[in-house]
Amino acid sequence: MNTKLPEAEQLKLDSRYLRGTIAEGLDDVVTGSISEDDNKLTKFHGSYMQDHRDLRDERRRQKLEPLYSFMVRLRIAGGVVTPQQWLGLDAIADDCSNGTLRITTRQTFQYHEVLKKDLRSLMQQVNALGLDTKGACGDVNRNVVTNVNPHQSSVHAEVHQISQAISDHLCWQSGAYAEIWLDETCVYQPGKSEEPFYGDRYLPRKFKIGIAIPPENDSDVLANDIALIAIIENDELVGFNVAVGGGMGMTYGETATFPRLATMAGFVPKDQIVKACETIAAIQRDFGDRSVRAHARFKYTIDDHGIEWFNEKFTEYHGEAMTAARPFELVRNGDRFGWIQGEDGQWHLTLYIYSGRVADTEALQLRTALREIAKVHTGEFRMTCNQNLIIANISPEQKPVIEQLVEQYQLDIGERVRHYV
Amino acid sequence: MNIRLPNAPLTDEQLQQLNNLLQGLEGWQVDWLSGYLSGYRAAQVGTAVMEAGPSLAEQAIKLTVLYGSQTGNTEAVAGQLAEKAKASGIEVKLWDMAEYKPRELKNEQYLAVLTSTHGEGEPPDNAMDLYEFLNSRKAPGLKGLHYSVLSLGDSSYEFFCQTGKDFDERLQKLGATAVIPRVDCDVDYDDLAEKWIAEFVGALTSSMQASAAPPSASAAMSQLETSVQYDRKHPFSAPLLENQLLSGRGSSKEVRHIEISLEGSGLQYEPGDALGVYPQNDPALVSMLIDALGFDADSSVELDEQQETLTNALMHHREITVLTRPLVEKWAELAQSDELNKLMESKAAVTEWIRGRDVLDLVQSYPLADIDANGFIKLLRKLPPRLYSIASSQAAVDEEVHITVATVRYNAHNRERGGVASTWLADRLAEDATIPVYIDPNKNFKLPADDNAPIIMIGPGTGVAPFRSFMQEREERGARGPNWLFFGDQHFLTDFLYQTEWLAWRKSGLLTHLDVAFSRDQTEKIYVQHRIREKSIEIWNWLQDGAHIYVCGDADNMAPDVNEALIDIISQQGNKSREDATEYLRQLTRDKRYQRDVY
Ligand SMILES: Cc1cc2nc3c(=O)[nH]c(=O)nc-3n(C[C@H](O)[C@H](O)[C@H](O)COP(=O)(O)OP(=O)(O)OC[C@H]3O[C@@H](n4cnc5c(N)ncnc54)[C@H](O)[C@@H]3O)c2cc1C
Ligand SMILES: Cc1cc2nc3c(=O)[nH]c(=O)nc-3n(C[C@H](O)[C@H](O)[C@H](O)COP(=O)(O)O)c2cc1C
Repeated sequence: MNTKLPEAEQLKLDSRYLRGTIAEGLDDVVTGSISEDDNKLTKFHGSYMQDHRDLRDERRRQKLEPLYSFMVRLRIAGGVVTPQQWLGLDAIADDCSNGTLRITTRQTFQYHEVLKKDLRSLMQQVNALGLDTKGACGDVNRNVVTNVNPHQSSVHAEVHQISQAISDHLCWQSGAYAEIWLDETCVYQPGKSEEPFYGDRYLPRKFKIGIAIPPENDSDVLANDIALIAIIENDELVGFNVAVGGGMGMTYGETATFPRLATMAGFVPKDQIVKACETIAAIQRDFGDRSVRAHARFKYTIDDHGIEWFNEKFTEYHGEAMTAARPFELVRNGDRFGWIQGEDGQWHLTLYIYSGRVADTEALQLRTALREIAKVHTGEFRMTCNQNLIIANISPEQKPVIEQLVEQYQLDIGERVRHYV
Repeated sequence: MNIRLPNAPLTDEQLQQLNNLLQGLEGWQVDWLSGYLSGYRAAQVGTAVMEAGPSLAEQAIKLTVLYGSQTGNTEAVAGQLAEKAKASGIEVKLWDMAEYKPRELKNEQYLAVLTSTHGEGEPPDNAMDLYEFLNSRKAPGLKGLHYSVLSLGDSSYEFFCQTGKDFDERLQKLGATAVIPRVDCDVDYDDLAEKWIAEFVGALTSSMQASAAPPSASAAMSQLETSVQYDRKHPFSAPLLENQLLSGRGSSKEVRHIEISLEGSGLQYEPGDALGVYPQNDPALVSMLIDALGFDADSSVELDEQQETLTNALMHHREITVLTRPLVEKWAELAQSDELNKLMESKAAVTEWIRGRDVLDLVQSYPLADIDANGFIKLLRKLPPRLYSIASSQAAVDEEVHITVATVRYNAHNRERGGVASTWLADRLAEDATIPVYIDPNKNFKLPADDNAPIIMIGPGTGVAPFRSFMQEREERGARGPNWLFFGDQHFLTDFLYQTEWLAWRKSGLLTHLDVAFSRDQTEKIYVQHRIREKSIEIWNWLQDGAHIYVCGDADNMAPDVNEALIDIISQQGNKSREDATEYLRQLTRDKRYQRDVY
């Protein structure tokens, strides 16, 4: 049988591990755009091109091409950044973007209106901060989201480490990234694989992993392809219940598409979880429907084959079956604004951020305020799946300093919105 | 003076009569008489004047007309002179200076030198070689050569008509005799040039035999024909078709693409030609000026032998935005102002004062006690037409002409000011307006005749205009030669003039290379000359392949910097000394492979 591959699949195959002609496109300075094919490939690199629709017609008459720019999304597992990283990311917004940082529902930052000529510089600066943009979009594992639980700091720290490990483990490997963005020399050789896990066709569609720490469900965990629910026994993390095949997206007009909550598959101990995630992604890699893109998400694979089939495949791929899922309860899915003291005595402040937009406006100098906070803060920042921000791990001694800045800049600690606890 | 000619075949009485006659004659009358006598004799022996034998032809005056011209003005005037002279029976050879062999000079009898001035008092490109020859030690003695010089220039430049002056001085130094004195024309050169032609031709014919042929019918006919055509003196009122801002939002520039209809005019142009536009002054400025002078706006003034209202005269016919040194000098004589007189003592001070000021400033700073509207109008220059490089090819747009106009706006001495033509086109032109235009041909900026020849086009800013015309033409012609464009401006996002068209031509393969320099998109300024230097090897290779290089746009900085870059490339890639590289480039100019249209 010699059927023609769908366009999206062929493109990945022909891309020489996500290189395409992206580098040439970036070097072509007479246009602010890149080719359509390259635009599909840059998604794997965390970026895609848009144009300013309102200006299209005006610019066409002015014999100017559309005003093209790029969205760039970062890979920040669990949405945690240090104050130093915050300051760096903040500076990039001015240097390469429109002076705004956007917190997304997948706990990461997005830059908008990045011009082609500034893309490389942006990527380099992001990488210099120890972060990257790999797989923030594209047919690979996306940013791993995690509950931001401000109460149990030790559990949060451990879960965050695990989310980072999963994210790193499922990150694509091709030399394309370093070559295109970081000026490294080309290592491509025909016939030599650069993707031990993904292979040359990557996944059939995007793939999302989320982690919840009960009873909080702020990450809306069952809407992910893999939903991990932390199981804590005697104040210790022991492992995760694993549910598979969630996803809320549907394509308008395509009746065969539907939203689906993940189906519970069983329990995996914490030291096995990274490998288990790889196994599950491998099942989707090998059995996902690559012939119809609208039917390519993992939820359709699960729906088509059933959970028993999945469990069989899991056992086969993993060498070991999951054990029975353990009891848990997910109750809350909003953010809890304001000050909260954790079990270890450290303070956490959840700020309301209007549509995740970290910018300075006349009414609110939010970006400046957070920059000032980052300069004195000794803990970390955590982005929530509701596009809000937690200033986490503030020592009792530091609390008044942060309070003073919150007061000075009139930041919204949730008093101005109705919160749903 | 008494003629005593022992061997003369005349009776004493005849001799006496001759003496009586000759004593009362001026030199030119004697010249005429001598011509008349030979004609008379020819008639006696039955030889028609027009078919004069060799003896007569030898006596006909041989005039060589040399012109140095960049944008075609002087070339046109030289053509008129040649026609006039021919019609008066003079044997005329008309030469582009670049094509004339300088060593021929010593064999010339009568010579007309017509030249414009460019750069900062420099000769136009095609005059360069002759200019240098005359100023070198190779220049021969020119005793016996009779000449006159006509210079075209612009008195708002510091070195007004400098090249004409230089030619005049050199010819004189080399021993040549001026038939009539040199005339320096300002931007409103038509009338003065015509007068100089008439006087020069008159002086020549008067020294020619009287039996010279009357103007032939065909010459008269051709004059009649040209008078019904639209030209600089008779512009065509062309309807505006489109007036589109090209500069994107946020640009600090304001560049417009203007499409004009030539339908029914019979006007033809070629890529590389310019469009002459007769603009109107800003009515607001005109009324401020009239108020400052205390005149009545509707009063009638005499203008080129016609009556006009003062407002009309100032709006349509006289230049009020540019101050020239001659105007300030005349003003100083009238003003009797100690301050102005003091200023006039230093040339540099005047130049400095003039900068950014206009006639209104002059009127306000140094009011004249008694001057009336007529007297005031007489002081002013004619409002000269503005030239715009044509941005279209008739092969593609038929009876339309497109231009690309940068609006000139600036603040000087606490007043917002604007360029006359560019703000008229930008702000004060109704949608159904007509624009008085003519074609200003420029044979020094032409595509290669060979469609396979590669071309390199260097045109930052509005300098890109003629290259749009070049590309349209080459596309229509199916020309196969490779095309390379260097463009530059301030910002990529907003100032990339005709971006979508260049991109489409690059995609179609017509435009082989497209290199851009946006000066203000990064901390260090990058201009086209930097891009050119980056491409040294390729440019040298293209030159080896016979490429023609075209430069259009800014004359002050861009053109000299590009020239410098080219010399460096030729010297480095071609392993030549700087001198040899300069000569190489000069040779390209002679071969019409390096052409410039700068302003
Ligand atoms: C062969 C040729 C081709 C040309 N092609 C083009 C073309 O394609 N596109 C184009 O736009 N132009 C072109 N030009 C220039 C054009 O002819 C006009 O000179 C130009 O449009 C300005 O005319 P204006 O009447 O608007 O300004 P003017 O009324 O002539 O005013 C211009 C003058 O204003 C003064 N001025 C300007 N800025 C300042 C300042 N900041 N401070 C003080 N004084 C200042 C200067 O004295 C300057 O000479 C070309 C010129 C030539 C000779
Ligand atoms: C870039 C440029 C520089 C000029 N420099 C001078 C100058 O220094 N002195 C002068 O008298 N005229 C100067 N002029 C005016 C020209 O001599 C004048 O426009 C003339 O009519 C051009 O004639 P042409 O078309 O035969 O070259 C300059 C014109 C341009 C476009």
